[in-house]
Amino acid sequence: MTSGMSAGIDRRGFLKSAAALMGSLSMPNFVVSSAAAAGAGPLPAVPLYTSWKDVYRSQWTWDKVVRSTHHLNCWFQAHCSWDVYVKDGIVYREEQAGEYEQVNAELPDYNPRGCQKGGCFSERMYDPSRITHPLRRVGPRGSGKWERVSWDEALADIADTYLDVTLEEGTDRTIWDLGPGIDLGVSMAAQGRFSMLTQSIGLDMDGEIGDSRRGTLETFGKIVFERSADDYFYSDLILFWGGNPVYTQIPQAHFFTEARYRGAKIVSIAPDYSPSATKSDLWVPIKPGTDAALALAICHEIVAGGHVKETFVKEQTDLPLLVRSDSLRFLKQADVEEGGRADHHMLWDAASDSLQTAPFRSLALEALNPALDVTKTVTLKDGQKVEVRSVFSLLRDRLADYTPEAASKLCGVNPKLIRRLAREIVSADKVSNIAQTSLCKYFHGNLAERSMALIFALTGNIGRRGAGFSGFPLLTPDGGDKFAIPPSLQEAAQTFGKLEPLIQQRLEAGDTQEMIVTDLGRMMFAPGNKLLRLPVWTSGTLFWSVHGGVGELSKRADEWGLGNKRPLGEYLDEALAKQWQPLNPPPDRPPRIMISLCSNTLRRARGSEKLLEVLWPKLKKIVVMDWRINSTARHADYVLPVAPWYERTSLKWVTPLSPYLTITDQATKPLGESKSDWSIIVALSEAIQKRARARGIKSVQSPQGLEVKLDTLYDDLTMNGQFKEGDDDKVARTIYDLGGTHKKLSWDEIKQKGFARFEKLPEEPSSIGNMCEFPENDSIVPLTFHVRDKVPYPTSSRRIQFFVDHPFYEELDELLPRFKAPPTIGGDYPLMMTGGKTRWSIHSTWRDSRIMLRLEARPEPYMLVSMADATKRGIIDGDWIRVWNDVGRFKCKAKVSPSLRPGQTLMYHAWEQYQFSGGGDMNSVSPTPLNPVELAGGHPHLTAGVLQGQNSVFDRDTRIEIERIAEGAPA
Amino acid sequence: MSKRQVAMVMDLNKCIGCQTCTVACKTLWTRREGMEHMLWNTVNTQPGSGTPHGFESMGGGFRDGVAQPGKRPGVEDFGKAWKFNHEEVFFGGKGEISLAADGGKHGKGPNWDEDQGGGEFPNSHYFYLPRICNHCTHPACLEACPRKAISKREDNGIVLIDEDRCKGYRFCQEACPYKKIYYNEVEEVSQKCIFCFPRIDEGVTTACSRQCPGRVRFVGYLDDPEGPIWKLVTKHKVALPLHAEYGTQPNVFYVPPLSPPKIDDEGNPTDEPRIPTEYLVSLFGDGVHDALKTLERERERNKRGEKTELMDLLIARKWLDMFGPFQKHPRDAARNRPIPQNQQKSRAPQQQAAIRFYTKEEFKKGGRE
Repeated sequence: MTSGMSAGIDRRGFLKSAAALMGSLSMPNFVVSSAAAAGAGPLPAVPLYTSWKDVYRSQWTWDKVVRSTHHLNCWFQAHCSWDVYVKDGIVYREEQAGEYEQVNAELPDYNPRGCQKGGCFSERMYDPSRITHPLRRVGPRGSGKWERVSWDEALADIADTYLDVTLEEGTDRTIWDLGPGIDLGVSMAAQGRFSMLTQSIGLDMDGEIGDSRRGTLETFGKIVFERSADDYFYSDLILFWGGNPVYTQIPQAHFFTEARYRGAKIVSIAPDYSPSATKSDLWVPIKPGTDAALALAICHEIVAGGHVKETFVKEQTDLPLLVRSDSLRFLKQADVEEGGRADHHMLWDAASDSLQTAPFRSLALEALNPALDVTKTVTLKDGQKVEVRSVFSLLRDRLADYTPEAASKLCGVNPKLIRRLAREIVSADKVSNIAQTSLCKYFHGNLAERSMALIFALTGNIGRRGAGFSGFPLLTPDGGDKFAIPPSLQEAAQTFGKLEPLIQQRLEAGDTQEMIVTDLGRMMFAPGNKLLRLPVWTSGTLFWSVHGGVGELSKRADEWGLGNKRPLGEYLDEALAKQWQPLNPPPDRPPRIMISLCSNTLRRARGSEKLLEVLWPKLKKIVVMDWRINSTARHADYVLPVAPWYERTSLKWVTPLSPYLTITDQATKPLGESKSDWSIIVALSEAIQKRARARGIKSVQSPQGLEVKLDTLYDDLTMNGQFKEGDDDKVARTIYDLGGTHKKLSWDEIKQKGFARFEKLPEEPSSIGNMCEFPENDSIVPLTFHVRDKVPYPTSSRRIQFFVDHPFYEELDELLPRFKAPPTIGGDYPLMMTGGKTRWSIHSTWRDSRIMLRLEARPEPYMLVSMADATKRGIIDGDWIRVWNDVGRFKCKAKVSPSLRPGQTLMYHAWEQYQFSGGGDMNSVSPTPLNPVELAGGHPHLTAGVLQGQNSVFDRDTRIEIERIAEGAPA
Repeated sequence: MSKRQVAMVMDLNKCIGCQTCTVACKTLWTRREGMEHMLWNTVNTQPGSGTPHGFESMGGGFRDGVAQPGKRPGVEDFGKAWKFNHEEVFFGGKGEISLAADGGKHGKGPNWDEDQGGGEFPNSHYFYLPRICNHCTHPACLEACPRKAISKREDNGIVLIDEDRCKGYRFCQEACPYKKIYYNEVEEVSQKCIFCFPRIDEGVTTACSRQCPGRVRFVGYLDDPEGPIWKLVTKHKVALPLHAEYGTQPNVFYVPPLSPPKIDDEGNPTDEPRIPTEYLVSLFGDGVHDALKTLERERERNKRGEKTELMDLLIARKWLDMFGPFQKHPRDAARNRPIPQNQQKSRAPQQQAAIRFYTKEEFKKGGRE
């Protein structure tokens, strides 16, 4: 009975159902053409009906299964290996592969991973938001009037505009709006080569999405380092502090709940009783934005109680280093010795009771025993005598301001509870934390991160199994750059070889591999390097602020209690003038073309309505590449249909949390005329080359004097046709083979298996910060190269650094960690609008998915409001409310919840603009003023580079008021 | 009585409310016409109104062995499958149009009070409660069906509605005290969780359990002393039925949730869990007291480095151990092997595709013509 049933849906039936579906959706004819294209060839075997059970049995049948995944920016929860089930030429469902091997007998395995979004992508990719043909706007931008055009027509038009702009105004007027969904794989191989060849500008989004972890950069000289999620299983105490893993780490949340069963304790520190707090053993409610005060009070107790792990602190941190009391800068060897070096720091050796140079090439102290709490007078080389104090001594004074009683007044946590927290931390052997990217979206979040890192440093909870402060997770196969940068694969060795003398020179001078690789990433921000031609990147935040007009929203920033000493604009002018923050194109060269790749700026950018007002009119062409219509696509000139993940083969970055390179293998052909990102960019380069030749254009110079050849762009991008349109698999294979992180499986094998564990640390700017091994049989513990092997950190002091030696930090009194009161961004309004990543979408990718909207609490934008604040304003659950402050307004529904803290409102993110009605959206009230310390530069580790050292966005401490409004009232 | 009974244990300390189970079930089983609103698997925040809204006060089940009258939940009680105006928003040529569910006139969805819970700040509390059909040993639905369309399978106790016999009278909806039965207005039959019988028959565990990233769900035979279910339910007594007082002997069991302590007026933690134990007792019975004590005791033992079978079970270091005899990979299910490459029919890509399954009638016609 059952043997003949494997193809339960015959062609005829499918046609009938497809026709019914199309009728009901009344899709415009450029989206759906005739169903006659369906099905070809002889009919499959027809099943026999014997009973109702056959209907269900037939639902669980398929034609083939392909290993795949979803290559987007789930970030902390990326990636999961899925089986994609194909029937009758379409993906009908997916189910987790569930084949992760147990790492060792002690650890829970990674199975099955996955989440509800991934579990319904097969529904999502065929839903009404999917586009299958190039669309050209026929009405005004944003009018929703489109016509279907051919690829040739679309690309020729875009190519002509590109040539006009490039010839008349320069190569730096074309902007790649690179969303955080970029893969650093096949898509980026195309964009990277295009940008490298044309010197067009890519926007680095890490700061603009608020993920740049400033305090972590200030302290560690890098932001990228994270453990594998199973390493949390070894912890004794896990602090959920600055993250909501129950929403944002769904595939690996089981490691936390299972760690509890193993005996670990979980403490949740959050303003509201968050979904993650429900999984804790102790929830500590805290006033939003005051985490630094709590952290410093804990540090106060650690120091006062004599619990400092001195061996760790003396070797790994800057606490024993000496600071001049006259200049408030580190005492350097060059200050005290003729011919001394300005990058060598000094300490007081207790063993010899003398001033000594701190170790430089290694952290190992050898015979030195630095005094920790020390004040001395030293003689400089010019004979002058100055007082010097250790950073620890300065910090001890600073911590005196944060007794539990004093801190309690700031953060609202009872002093007794603060002491209990400190006790629990010092008595646990292995303490770890979940600090995602929430604290860094508070204006003074850098101070919170520095203060929290201090807890971990003082107690030696860094770089050990089960113990550590969590940085930003990223792990990238390192073949991408090797494919994108050289003119051809044959010339790769020669291309990178040019750097060899410089690298040797730096290694000999004592710099580490990590420092050098990190600096290679920084080179992308300074275009025009004659030695190595690179793609160009610039800070997304600065770009939107300066070129996009978002900065105009902060005209009244000086009324918001930001704590600045000068008007905000002066810091920006100074940073731009001193080239501390590179901005390309510079402020006087407006952008003209924007191509969005894996991005949705108008949904995402805070204050994004301003972009429509200021940036949009400057742009002659706005091109959105996506598989669906989104907020940005609605306002584009062209929407180019991209094949979603199941329809192409690729590889992508992951994170150490789940250290498995996870691939997509094409399950079905691209629907309609959609193409992969790679293919679209190759086709665009071909159109440009063709039009350039037709118009007799050969080449132009970039503003920095590099030659940009337009009439050979396609030949150069494809390495003379070696990698053509549709060659995604070949490109992926090449990137995989060029990389050094996976040697055990061949590309064909990994496509079969779907995933492969990283075997070693990638030598790549966005991953090297992890600085650890990737053992096959144990969890991954970042920073072990520093902690175990004594390799210096990439900070100016070469240690975990709590004293930040930069003039902006001195001016703003942030030389040392401290607490600063949350500002009143947006004006002096009574409620703080906090936010977070939603459970129901990965950014906006599933935000308007029918299934997800139905399963979420509400099918439309809503704000969580506390009972007290709702009652005070006569708001009841389900009411429409107006939300406003000095910079903007919007409306949404109120969801009144006892889990919300009075004074706090919470709006989970990523609602599309078109999900709001009555004017405005949730970004309308977020001006996100620049924080001057983030404009710092000209400093060894406070310099713009890949993902870090750029301006961030701050929406967590936006102030608002809300009121009940009638249905249909404007915002 | 069935010879054996398959059962499920759901560990509420591991459930994170992500609804991957709900989606796994939805995409596999309830995409036929008339099934749009159905979610055979639901997850709700507790305290809360659940799905269907207020199901606990809709009656049904047995008291002292006597069947109780019950209400029949309607589509609105379950939460409708709203219609959205994506096409109008994207391609309608109207600039200022917003996406709306049922034109903005939607009722309550199936997860309406997500993350709200009870208590007063800062002593707020909530947890997630996933539910499927309980495949009861004494099913009220079975007794209520005048067509004798509902049966318990002899070999494993799965409760199934025979959709060939069912005439859509819906007495089962009234009788089920858990309100886990839906009505298909197109096919004119009642439908509910089938415990993935096509998978179970092949030795593959249910989609909701296998796809659960929180590793919440254990599946196996109730009487298997080697399997996780027996150990959790009978040996350690940490897994309890929901509303046993409904009298149907449900075969889904829950490990009750621990919770962080309440906070006193000065902001210091007390010794009392913030979820009121009496509330948990109202759901899972008196066994809650001992179950919570056992969990805390065994955690402490594990922390001290002692071996504890219960904690090892709940941790489930090897994921597949959670599924007793149902550990086969779905791809390897013998009757569902992919069609060999050389027999696959080539098909041109669709212009716009959406999967849709046969109804019984279509299936029959499709098979005969």
